[in-house]
Amino acid sequence: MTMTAPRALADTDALTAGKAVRAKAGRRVTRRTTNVRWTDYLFLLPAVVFLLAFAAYPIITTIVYSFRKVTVLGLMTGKLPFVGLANYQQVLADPLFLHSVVIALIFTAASVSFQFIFGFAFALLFNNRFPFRGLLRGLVMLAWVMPLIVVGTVFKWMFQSGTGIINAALASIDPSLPVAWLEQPRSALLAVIITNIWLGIPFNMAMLLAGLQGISPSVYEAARVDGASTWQRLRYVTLPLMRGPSLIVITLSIILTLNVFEIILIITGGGPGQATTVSTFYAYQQAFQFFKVGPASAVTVLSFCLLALVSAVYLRLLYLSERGTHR
Amino acid sequence: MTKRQLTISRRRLIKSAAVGGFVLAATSIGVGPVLAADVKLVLWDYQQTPNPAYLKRLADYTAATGVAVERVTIKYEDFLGKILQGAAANALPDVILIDNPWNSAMADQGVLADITDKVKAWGQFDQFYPGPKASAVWKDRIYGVPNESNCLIMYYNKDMFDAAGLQPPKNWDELRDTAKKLTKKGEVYGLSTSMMKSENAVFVFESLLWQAGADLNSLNSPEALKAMNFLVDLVKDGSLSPESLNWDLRAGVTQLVNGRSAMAFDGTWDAPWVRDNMKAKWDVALLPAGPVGSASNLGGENWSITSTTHHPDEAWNLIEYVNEPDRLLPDLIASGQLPSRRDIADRPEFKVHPIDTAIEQLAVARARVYGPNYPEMANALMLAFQTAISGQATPQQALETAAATITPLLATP
Repeated sequence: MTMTAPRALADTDALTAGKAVRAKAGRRVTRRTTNVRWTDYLFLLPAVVFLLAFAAYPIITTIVYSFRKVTVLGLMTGKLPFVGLANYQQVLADPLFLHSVVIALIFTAASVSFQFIFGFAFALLFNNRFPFRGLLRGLVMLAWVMPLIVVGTVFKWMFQSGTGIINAALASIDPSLPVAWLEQPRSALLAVIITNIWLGIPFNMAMLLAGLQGISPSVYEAARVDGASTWQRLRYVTLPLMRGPSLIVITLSIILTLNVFEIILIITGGGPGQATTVSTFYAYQQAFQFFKVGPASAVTVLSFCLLALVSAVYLRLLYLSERGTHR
Repeated sequence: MTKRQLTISRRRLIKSAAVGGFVLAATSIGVGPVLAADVKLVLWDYQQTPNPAYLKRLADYTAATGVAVERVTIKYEDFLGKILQGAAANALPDVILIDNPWNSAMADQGVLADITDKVKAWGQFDQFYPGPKASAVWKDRIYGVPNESNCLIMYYNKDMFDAAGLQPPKNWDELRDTAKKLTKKGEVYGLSTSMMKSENAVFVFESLLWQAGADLNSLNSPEALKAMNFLVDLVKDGSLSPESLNWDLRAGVTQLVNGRSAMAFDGTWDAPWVRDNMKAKWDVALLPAGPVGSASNLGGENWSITSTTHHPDEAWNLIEYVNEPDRLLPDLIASGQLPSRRDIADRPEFKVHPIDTAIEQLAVARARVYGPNYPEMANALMLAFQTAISGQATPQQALETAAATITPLLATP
């Protein structure tokens, strides 16, 4: 790497200042660890109790239930016989479950990629100063603060094939354009994906905007001095420096999207047929409509494993990228 | 306070409680044990907009007996899930007022108390029509007392029929023909109803199955295929909008109310709502008969006692009290519901139109008594008619898939 302006800058005041801060912090940490008091742990207690009660307990219960035959009577009497892997076998042999996994993957891939692209575009836009920036950014964030039931109901109305605003708009362009959105399998899936993309844009935008604002203006200044065009600054400065934040956003989006359920319940109820039934919706049906808590727990544990895998990949990438930039 | 005083006052207390209890028992319907005044019964229902007459029945019981009734309302869609959570947390109520197709499932799951002896001692069970009665019975034991009944019926726009010089269709062929005639592309559909992923639509689809002579155990039969083909043909004709895939029953009848459909299949419970909102002239008619005859689907709620209650006597007393015909009648009238019992149906209040037609329809309404796996079977039916209507499967394929799911579920006890 050639010696560029930012590095030169960093080599001077910033670096020495950083070194001083780090040295100071290091001293403080050593002193603290040699002097641990039990009261320190007392401060941890609320967080630990909270995590045990609201995270560990449900997760462990779900894992336990996934290996047991759970009936309503069993829940009342506490008799939940161990059935080994029967719940998992039952779920994996169910074509409806496998179908729901495929739908979930399509739903997630499409949602996450477009949420990211639009989120990034909005973040770039709002990273510039222009009139009414605050107001417009607030409007984009609206999707985030709106209750899901409202969003779902409004989109359901918009997608109505007879009276919906989307078809009315399409018809005004060309009478052959209107689509029976929620009545056909592919367009129904597309409709819930569009809704979910709209919902996910603010989250992506907020996270990516924070990342963009973390890039020092001096880097851009240096690039400009070197004669980089707007496109080149985006391609060779912004994008590489946004790798870390982007990975965080994409991973979190994957996790959030794989857990999406309410929007589908409201807009299509998983239909028509099974066309929009994702695996979380399948698990919900098994547990709360069919009283099959065991198989539902098995589905949940399987998706938990999948999410753990995604998180592991993410942590690994994050680690690699951090090591890369610090070298 | 000395010990002696305490004993006296306690004795006095017991005495006054006994007298009070006697008075209460005498003023109440006069059956059952003396009720403890500090007992509180918890009741779960899904009456999100309860009609005052229903609340009065409960309030009157508390006034007469001193037994408090805490009413907890749960959204219909969340009700089964809430029961499951209540069972797991040992927090089930004492009494539940549930949709009758759930009755057999809950009984089988052990949620409900067997009240056969209490009902027999009551001696009024024979007053109930066969449909409501069947919905409360599982494996020859009684688990519920029907509150009210309703069924699927046909509403129609009388103005449209008069303008076209048509009569309400009496059978499937006439229905298909009439619906075609009354459909104006883009403006009016001949027929509207629910085909969504909900028990709402199953309520309709099962009626068609029965009218064709099929049932859940014969989905592979030519009769079942006839029913499915008929439904798909209505959509293909343009008489029934594919949008029905997203309509619940209320949304379906709303098309009729707004002049966007000429006929609607909907429950009798919506009659007051149609009356209050529809500008055009309307009426009800019996559902068109299928190849083997007339059939409709029976709905309604049953009163049940949970197996975990600590107050089974008070709970039964409540059920007995609020189901006295004179206390039940005002509620039925106010809510537009139909009686489940002959003695109430004979009252003059039910001899007026359109309630008389609804009662006539009720006579051929069947109860959904398919046992503990019914919710899953219903889901398989939803998949069948939704995939057939949306063209993801042929009627034949859709029914075969549903049969493959439902047949083993019917076999499991």
